[in-house]
Amino acid sequence: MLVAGVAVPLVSFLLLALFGARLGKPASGWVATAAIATSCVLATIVLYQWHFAGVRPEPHVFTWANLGTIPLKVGVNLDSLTVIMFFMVTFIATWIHVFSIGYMAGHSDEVDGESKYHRFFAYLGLFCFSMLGLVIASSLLFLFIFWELVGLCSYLLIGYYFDKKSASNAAMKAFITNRVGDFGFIIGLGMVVLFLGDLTLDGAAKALRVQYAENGTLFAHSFLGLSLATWMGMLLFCGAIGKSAQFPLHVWLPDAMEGPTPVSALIHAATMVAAGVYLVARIFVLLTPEAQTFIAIIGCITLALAALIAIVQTDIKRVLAYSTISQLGYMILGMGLGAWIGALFHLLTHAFFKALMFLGSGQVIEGCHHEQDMRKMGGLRHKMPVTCWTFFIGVLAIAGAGIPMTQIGLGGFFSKDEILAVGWHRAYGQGEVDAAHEMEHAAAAMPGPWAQAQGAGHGAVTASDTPAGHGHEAAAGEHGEGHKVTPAWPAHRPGHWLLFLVPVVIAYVTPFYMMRAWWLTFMGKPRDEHVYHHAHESKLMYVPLIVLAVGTLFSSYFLFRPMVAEAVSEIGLQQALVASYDGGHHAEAGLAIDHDTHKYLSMIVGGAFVVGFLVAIAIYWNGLGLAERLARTFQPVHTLLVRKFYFDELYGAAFVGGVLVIKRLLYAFDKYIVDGIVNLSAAVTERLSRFAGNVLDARGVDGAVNGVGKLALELGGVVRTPQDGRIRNYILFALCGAGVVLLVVVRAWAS
Amino acid sequence: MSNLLNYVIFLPPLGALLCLVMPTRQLVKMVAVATTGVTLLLSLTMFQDFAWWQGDIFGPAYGDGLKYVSQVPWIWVSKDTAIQYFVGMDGLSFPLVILTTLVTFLACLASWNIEEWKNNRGIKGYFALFLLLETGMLGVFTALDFFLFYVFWEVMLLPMYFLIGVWGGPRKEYAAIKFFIYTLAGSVLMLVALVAFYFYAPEGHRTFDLIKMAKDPAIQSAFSSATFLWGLKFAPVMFVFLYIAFAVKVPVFPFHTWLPDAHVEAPTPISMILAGILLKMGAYGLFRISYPILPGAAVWAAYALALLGVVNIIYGALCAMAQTDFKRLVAYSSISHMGYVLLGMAIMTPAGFQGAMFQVIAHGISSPMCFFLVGVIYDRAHHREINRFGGLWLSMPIYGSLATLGFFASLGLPGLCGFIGEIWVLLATFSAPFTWAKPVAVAAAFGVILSAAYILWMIQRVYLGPRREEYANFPEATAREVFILTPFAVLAIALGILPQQTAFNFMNGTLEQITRIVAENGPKFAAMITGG
Repeated sequence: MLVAGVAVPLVSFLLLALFGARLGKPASGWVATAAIATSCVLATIVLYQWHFAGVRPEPHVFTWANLGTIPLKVGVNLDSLTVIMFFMVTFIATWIHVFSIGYMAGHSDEVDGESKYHRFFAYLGLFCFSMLGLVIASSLLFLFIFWELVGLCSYLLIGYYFDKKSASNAAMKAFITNRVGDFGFIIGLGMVVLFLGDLTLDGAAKALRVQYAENGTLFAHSFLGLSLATWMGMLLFCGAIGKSAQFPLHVWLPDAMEGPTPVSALIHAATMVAAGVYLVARIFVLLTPEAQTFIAIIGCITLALAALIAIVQTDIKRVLAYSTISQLGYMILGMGLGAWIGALFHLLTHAFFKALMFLGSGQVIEGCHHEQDMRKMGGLRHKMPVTCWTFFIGVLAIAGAGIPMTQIGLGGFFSKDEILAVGWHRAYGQGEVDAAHEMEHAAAAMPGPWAQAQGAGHGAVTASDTPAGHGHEAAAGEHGEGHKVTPAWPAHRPGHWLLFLVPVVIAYVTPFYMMRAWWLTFMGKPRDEHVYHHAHESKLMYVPLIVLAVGTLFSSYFLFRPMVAEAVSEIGLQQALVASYDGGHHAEAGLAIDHDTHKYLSMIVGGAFVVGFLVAIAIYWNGLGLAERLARTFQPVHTLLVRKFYFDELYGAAFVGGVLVIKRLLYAFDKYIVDGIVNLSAAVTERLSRFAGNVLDARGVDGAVNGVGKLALELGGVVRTPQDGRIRNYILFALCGAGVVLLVVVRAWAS
Repeated sequence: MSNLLNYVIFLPPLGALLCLVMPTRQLVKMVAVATTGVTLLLSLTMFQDFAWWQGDIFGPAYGDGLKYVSQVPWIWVSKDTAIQYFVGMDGLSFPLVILTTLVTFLACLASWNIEEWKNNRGIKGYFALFLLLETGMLGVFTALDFFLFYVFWEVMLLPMYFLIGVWGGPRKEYAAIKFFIYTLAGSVLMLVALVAFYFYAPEGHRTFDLIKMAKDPAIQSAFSSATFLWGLKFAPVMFVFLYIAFAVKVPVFPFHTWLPDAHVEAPTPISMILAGILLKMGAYGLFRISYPILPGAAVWAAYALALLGVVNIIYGALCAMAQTDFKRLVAYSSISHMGYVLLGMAIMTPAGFQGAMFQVIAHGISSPMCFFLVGVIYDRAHHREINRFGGLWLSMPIYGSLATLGFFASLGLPGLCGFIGEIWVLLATFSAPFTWAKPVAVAAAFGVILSAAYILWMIQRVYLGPRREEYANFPEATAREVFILTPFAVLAIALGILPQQTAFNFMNGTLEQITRIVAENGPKFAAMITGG
């Protein structure tokens, strides 16, 4: 059924690609919407059957092709995570399609009066197909294939207004930056094939456990001080760095805002950019502690950088873009810390509220006739009340609003809290306690996950097997079958206090910049009469806003978290090399971390949104005046942030410039040196042949050659060109050469 | 039925003769298109004998599963050995034969507007040479006798020389002579190998039969132990000779500079054939002659070959990026793509051979398509300066969409044909049993960034951007042009989505046999080469 759900958008893409021009303006949009809505209905049915009726269909797997002797399998990876992701993507995509029909109505004829409208929806269909394919892929190779396809759709949609130079530049930047990440991913894939010999997720995980138990190549060998297994994880993660716009490849996402706003909402906020997090979730079982730390550090840097840049952005979409990067940073950090549930939970809640906010900004931009500068807005609450208040719900959600110490709050409140809680736990939690003892304690306390049996026959994991530096012995609880216990490494790593502190600080910054954006746009007094005068909202566009706002308010805690938590045991996360903090805890058990941690955290971060909001309101209460004074006071910092830490300039100079110079050098080498040698030898040969022809003048041969040349020329019905004298000489020389070589050979054989 | 292959090979020259006596231009063109069309149809009927569902159709050993074999003595060289007319097809030949007939047919259609060319120097001669060229190519891909192979190799050379040198662009003489000399220099070395293979075989085993040479242990061990000149071993010297002969055609750095010149000067259909088929003859030659007959030398040279492959990939991509001439860019991209073929071959594992051979086919689809795409706008703009174009997608939406597809196929986007060859070769290189394989693979993987960069940059400059006045009234691609592009587009997608059914099932059997030959004999003979 999910396969059908994947296929429907593809059908829509093909229909629109072939007949879209004939279908015309609103019709092609409705075709695409109907297709994705069908997928969404299918997804809902599957979700119902899966979650509430407990239906577990048999997976079908077949072989796509053979890579040498390794069969490459195609199949659907069906578990709770797939089901909930599938539902999220189709649900959000459906409403964004509806929104797009309204949004694109006024946009499509900008180019020479020629409608590209159908093309927009065709690309959306292709995107939905690829994204859903990515979600259900059961092998890393197929994950990669769909991964590239969503990248293609992103390229096409960012460059939708390709008659604008900035749009086509942004599209190119997005694709190439992603390719840099894919470069690492391909190497990672190569390592998987080489060392694990299986590209399916399950197979690779199994093979890795065997390697670990036997101290195989991946663990026994190291490169630059890190084991090969760590490298493999880090390289696979490179793909996610590109796609999820993590530092240092985050530069493409803000530029991607050149695309139409619904695209920004769907692809560059809710779904595609989250694919990186999804990837990490899928390869979590392959990660070593070092690889996880690497991931956490990348996430941490990203979330801080992006949040700081977001403070000074004046383009409403760019604020949202940087906030997306920052939130993705939280998810990646969560993955790196082992907060598997927290990160995915945050992914799902984020998809809803960020799509909501992007659509809201689309409404604003459309209403204000393509004005994106917040400095010219203000007071729009009167003109677009629905947008204003749905946007506010989004702001509350991203800020993590909720009432501390209770179960009342928005999605972001719980999901971010969960990540931070794990960060706390990792940094400070029982750090002094003897690790082995702690693990035993943990195993005793939580028998399910920690005491999961390792695959039969792989024997015990002893302390000597575990890499130095993390040589805590695995907890040794006995399971029913008597196998030794995994995971190999305990989850907590004392000393990572920065990975906790930075996110906490940024948790105060997030509400600030979001409130700033909301306040500047909707509250206060109108700052530009012209913009204010035109502002209006349209119904086709605000219905999706309401739906998403309701989704943001209610669905998250009741649906998302339990589903994600269920997935933990289904995909055998306990088999992961490093324990995740969530291992096996089921929904009813509440959060994985003990309640004390949450209590402390609530005190530290719970009120962050209030503080952030208040500061933002205080600064922007009276428009931009105070903010400008502050910017002048902190001039250097402000400039640094406005220039986005100079990443674009740096890359422009170092990489783009470097490649441009190298390519010029190489081409000059090609043209003057390689070709120079060729031409020189030709000239020398020509002289030589003239000499041979004139002085030695082998008449018989010459005559024969002339004859052949003439015959060929006449056969071709060709008028002889003045140059054929040279041809003759070349042929002559070649034949002479052949003769000499032949003689040598015959002599060599004879002797 | 068994003569079907002979009909396919020798139908084109009959058409060529017919062309020469046709009274009107229209009839000449019709005869030429009909000839290539019938040849294509005849070759397509062979699918019945290469049905992939029939299991192992190539027999247990190399050469056992040949189809459509014709084997008759041609020239007696001694009283018990003869140069044979020996043609036949296995999994290596069959896809290339189909590719040849298809690309030739489409290129022939692409020549339909020859009257409008600036450098139209006569129609009869053009089509006659064109058809002769097809025979040369088909012969190369089916000949199983070395001498016959050599003859067809030379038969192909002359028509190509004239097609570039007469119907080409402003620097046609230079380009044609360069092409000719390069190939001829290569074939001289091949001729040496041809004669040497015969004489160095032990008495009573002497033959020109390529299959026999690969399978006869007496010949194999003689080749590996013999010394050539000045103490040099026979096998490596022959391997290098043959390698240069084929490398010129592939082309491999540093024997590649004839290619951009030839492409730039050649008319569009000739570029299509040059890129789509002629380059493949080099790769085919390595597969058919070098690897099965000189497995020891192949193992001995693997590292160097892999390095050359990587140089091709990176160097070709960087040079492509530096181009401002559209056609030259596509020509350098061919060099980059053929690098994957070389790398895959050098790896010598089943996956490597599969990837290399798939890349051969995939590039045979995508590169003629790209050259035709360039030709379409050249016909309209009469220049190929990338920087002077812009916004073409707006004027020509259908053409623009097909162009995007074609160039993305060339870029190696998953779901299209270019991806499979690339990823197969890369993954094979990673898992190759050589210590040098991993760094080489990493370097080769870097190519994916570069190819994305030069292709997207080109697309941006040519197809995207604001509409330019001078191109605003360009007519959309004509029905003929769309008709030519469609088969390429369909095949690019089909090969990308179903690689097993469209390609691997045909060639895997034979590739496995060659892998086995190399694996069984290679290390043994390589030890003889390096040891003594």
